[in-house]
Amino acid sequence: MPDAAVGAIAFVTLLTIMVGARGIRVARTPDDFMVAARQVPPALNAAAISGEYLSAASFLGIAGLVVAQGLGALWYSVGYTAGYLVLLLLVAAPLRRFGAYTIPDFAVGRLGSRGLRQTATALVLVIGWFYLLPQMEGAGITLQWVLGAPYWVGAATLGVVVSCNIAMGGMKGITFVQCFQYWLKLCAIGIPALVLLIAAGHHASPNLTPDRAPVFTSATVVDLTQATSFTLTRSVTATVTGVLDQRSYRDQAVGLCACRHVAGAGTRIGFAAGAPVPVSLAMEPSSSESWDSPFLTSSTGGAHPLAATYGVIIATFFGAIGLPHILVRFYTNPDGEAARRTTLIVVLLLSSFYLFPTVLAVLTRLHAPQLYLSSDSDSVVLALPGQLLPGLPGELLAALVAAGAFAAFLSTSSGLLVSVAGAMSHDFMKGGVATFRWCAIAAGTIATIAALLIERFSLALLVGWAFAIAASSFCPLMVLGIWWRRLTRIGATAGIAIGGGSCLAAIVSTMLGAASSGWGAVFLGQPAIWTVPLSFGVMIVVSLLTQRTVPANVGQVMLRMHLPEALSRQAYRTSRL
Amino acid sequence: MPEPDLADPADAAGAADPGGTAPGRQRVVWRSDQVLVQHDIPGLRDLRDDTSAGRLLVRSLVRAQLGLSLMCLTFALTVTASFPVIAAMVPAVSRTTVAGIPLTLIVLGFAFYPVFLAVGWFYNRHARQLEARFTHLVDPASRRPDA
Repeated sequence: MPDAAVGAIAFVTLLTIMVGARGIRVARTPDDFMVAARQVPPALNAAAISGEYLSAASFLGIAGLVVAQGLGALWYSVGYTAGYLVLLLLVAAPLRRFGAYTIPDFAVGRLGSRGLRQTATALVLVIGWFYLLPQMEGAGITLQWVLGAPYWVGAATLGVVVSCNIAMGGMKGITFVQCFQYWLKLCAIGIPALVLLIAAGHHASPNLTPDRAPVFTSATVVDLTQATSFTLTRSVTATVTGVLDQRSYRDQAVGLCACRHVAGAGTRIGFAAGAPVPVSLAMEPSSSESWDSPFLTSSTGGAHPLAATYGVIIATFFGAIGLPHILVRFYTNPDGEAARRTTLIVVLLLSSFYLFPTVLAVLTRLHAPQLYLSSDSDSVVLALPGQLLPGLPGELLAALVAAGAFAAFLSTSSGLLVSVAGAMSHDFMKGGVATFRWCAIAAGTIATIAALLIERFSLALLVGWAFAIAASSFCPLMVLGIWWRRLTRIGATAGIAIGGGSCLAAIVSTMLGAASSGWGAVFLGQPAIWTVPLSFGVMIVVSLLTQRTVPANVGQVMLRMHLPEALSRQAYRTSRL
Repeated sequence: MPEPDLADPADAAGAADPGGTAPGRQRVVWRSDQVLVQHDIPGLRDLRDDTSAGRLLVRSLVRAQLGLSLMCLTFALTVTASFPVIAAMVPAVSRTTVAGIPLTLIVLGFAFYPVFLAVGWFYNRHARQLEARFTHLVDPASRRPDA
């Protein structure tokens, strides 16, 4: 397969390893962050946050899911952006003024309790691992597509590179690198999207018209590189060379019924313009909703589309607040006012990025419907350039996309692994740098092994689940902790444990195939719709029942979080002793 | 991992003044190497010493900030989250096309992002004004909020 793509991925990976090797001694103490705090302007910091945030789901997952399931999957990109708006409105400035590095630190600083710290740390591990899985899976899919290597090669490669990199010193704290990652990702998806948009030209296509299964817009010969099972929505006559439904053909016209067919590896099928597009098993929509429906039903088997859509909306809108690897970046803002400006710029940068997966998905539907025969919805973005631009230009664009995707896996999984390993070594083992290194390797190994077991779930779905757990555990903790002085440590612990625990249980039972239809599928497949209100409710009720344990210093802590800088600078005008 | 000095201000404030400073003039440690020095703005002293007047002031600020946040949040949520309900009640909405492009694609793919940016910009502007007004209330010598 394309040498250019292999070279580009190798380049990005080597660059990351080299930067990691140089960064061994960078940013290990609070004072390093303090120094950085005065130097990082909002625009740079915002790009760094976005660089760490945009992951495999954003890069490959959303576009693939839109192609396969329909426009409703765009709720993921809307929600990932809206998550930062909600973060801006509810937590950005007070959180910066509070000055915590991690969510367990915030919990303990605000409410003061060891038990709470351990509960919060356990949830950091759960969310971190859930979020790491799709990164590993994305790497597996990308290398599978580029090299033709088995799925586990890519997942294991990413696991080894990132774990060793973090164990050696990591790329955390290097704001500039994460900032560079954002612009790399934007270029790697924006340039192909714009070039392909121009190359595809403007001509009418019936595939955007509501309520229509996709059809070939011109006579198309489909090359099936591997054995594929596919479904036709209408009967059609096609020219077949190779094995189809266990019979051998040689350039013969064959009448194909509207049913499932199995083609052998290396089969070529020629379709006339206007013929219906065959859809592979992996690309089959999960419901009978039309492609342009605004509902999102993947993971719930098409049951109750409205409720399933709201499940995704709640999870993504409120999940960003609770992600464990984002909080520390807020500390590099000089003050609360700058934190607000930074967050607004993040919303701008994310909005700009998310225009392009939409463009790629629509281009696929319009001009490359043969990709409905892909073996995996997440590889659609990688395959599109080669389909629309044959020859070297297409190969170069595909290389750019593959490199950008790998950059996304590397940066997000590095940030996550630092959070997970930090939580393990700091809160559970009380260890120093050596423990941290072993924890990084252990956490990376666990994530890699888990990633090998979950191949069949879409990237966007997996990341959406990580958001659901964050939204039903840490989001209530942060929001109530900042705005409600009557929150108690018992209430917070109960809310995190019950909300996060029930969300996790629902997701795991969905992964094991517990319920695939009806309300059960909605409540288990998109649990945020009930676990987020449950978590808020438990936190409030239990806190009200345990008012005697409200921390004595709550007034001072509230003051510290909400007092404008102009006053706090005067109140706490500092002098060196 | 870095160990932040989180507990410091909280401990010092909560620990009933072990250092033996004069009553009513609590010494609040900000960081290990920094101390709070008194500053003669009356409102500020109220805030810091957690008097009933100070508590009232902080509550009014927190309540005003929360009101602004919730107003912006409600607006953003209404604009975005009403779309599925509308589409479910009026099926014609998801059948509509504008210049051949499905309305769903325009709304979900492009239209919400400017709304988010506008809400964020509005919030930042008003949060800044709110804080400036509060600062002026506590410390009348500070720059006027509308200056």
